Amino acid sequence: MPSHALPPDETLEQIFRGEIDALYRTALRILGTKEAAEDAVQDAYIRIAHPAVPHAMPEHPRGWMFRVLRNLCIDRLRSRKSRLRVVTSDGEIETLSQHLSVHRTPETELLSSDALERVARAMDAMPEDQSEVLSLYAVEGLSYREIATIIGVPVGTIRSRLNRARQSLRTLVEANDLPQLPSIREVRS
Amino acid sequence: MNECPHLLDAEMWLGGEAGERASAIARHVAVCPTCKSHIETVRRLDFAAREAGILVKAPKALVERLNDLDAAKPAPEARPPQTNAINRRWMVGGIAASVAAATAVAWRSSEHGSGEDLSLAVFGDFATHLDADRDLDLTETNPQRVMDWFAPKVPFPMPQLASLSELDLIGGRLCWLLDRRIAAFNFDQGGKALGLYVADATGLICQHAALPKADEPPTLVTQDDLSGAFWRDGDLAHALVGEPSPEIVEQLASLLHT
Repeated sequence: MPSHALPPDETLEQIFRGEIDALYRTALRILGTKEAAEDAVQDAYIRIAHPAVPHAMPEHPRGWMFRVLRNLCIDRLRSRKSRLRVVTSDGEIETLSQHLSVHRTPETELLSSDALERVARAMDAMPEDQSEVLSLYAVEGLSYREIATIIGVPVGTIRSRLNRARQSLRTLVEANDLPQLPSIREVRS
Repeated sequence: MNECPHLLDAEMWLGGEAGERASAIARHVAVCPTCKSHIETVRRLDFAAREAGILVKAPKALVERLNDLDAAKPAPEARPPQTNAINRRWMVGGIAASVAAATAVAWRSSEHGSGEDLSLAVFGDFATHLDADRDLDLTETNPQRVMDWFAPKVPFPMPQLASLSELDLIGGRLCWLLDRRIAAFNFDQGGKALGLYVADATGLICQHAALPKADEPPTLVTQDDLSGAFWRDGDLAHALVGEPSPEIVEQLASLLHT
C-alpha cells in the first residue's frame, strides 16, 4: 500500500468494540445479570465480527449491531422461559442501580450519588418497553428512527413510549433528584 | 402534563426529530407555557437518565474474551457494499489530493445534484438548538479534548480545526441528522452562537447542487436569522451556521476551510 493511500475503512469489529459499553448495557438491561449480558455480547460479537460467511458492511452498522444483540437477548429470554430482570439461581437480581458505585465522573456531579441511584432504580422499575426506549435514546444516543429499526416498531410508537417513559421517570424520582441544567446561553456568557 | 396536545411534538422538536415541522413547533413552543415547562422537565429527565445509565461499563473480562476470539480467528474483511471511502487523516489544508481517487464514487451522487440537503438539516437543527436552549453534550474549550470526545462516536476521522482567534470554542454536540452521525462544534463569536457541523459527505447536497470542493468558495445560504456556509473537503461535509451576518460567516468559513 502506498504511503499516501487511505487506511482501510473501519471494520465491523472496530465499530463493535467502539460500542462495547453501550451494547453491554443493553444486554444487561434485557437479561438482568452480568454473566448473561457478557455471554450475549460475546455471541453477538461472533456473529458480527467473525461470521461463518463474511457479510458486507450494513448501511447502518451501529443500529444493526444493537438489533442483532437485542434479538439474541430475547432469544435467550425465551429459551429460559424467564421474565425480564431474571432472578439468578442464587436469588440475586442484578440491575443498573447495582453498578453505580464506580465510574463517577465530574460530569455526573450535577447529580448526587443518591440521586443517581434513585434514577437508576426508577429506570429498573419502569416497564421494560419504556426503559428500553429511554435507555437507547437518552443513554446510548440513538435516534427515533434507529430505535424504531432496532425494536421493529413504527417511529410513532417510539415517540409515545419515550413520552410514557419520561412520565414514569418523573413519577418515580423526586423533583430534587433532577439537575438544574445550564443552558447554552449561560454557557456562552 | 397533558394540558397541551402538542407535548409529544415538543419532545420530538427538543430532540431534533421534528424535521420539516421544526419551525412550526418552535413557534408554538415559544408561546405555550405548558410546552416550555414540559421540555425543560424532559431535558432534566433525559440528562438524569443518561448520567445514571452511562456509568455502567463493559467489564474488562468481556473485552478480554473478545480479544481471545480475535486471536483465535482472524477477522474477515468487511467493507461497505457501496463505496463510502473515508479520509481518516483529513487535516485543514492537508492531504485532500490523496483521497481523490478513493472518493470518486462517493462523490457521484452529489455532483449530479441529487441527495439529501445538508443546509435544510443543519439550519433546522441549529435553530432548534438555540430556540430550545438545549444543553451541549460536552462543555469544553480545549479543541483537542473536544476532538478526543468525538473521535470514538463518529464514523469518520476528526478533522484538525484551524485555530481562529475570532472564534471561542465552547463545546460540542453529537447529532443524528440525515441518517448519519454528525459532530457539531459550538462556538461563540462576540456573543453570537455558531455551529460547525462535520459529517460524512456521501450523498449530501446543498441547495440542489453539489457541495463545493475544498478549492472552491463555500455555498452561502441564509435562513430566517441564521447564516450558513457549506463546503466539502475530502470525504467530509462542513457546515458553518450561526447568528453572525452572512459576511462574517463567509469570512470564518474561508478561514476554516483553507
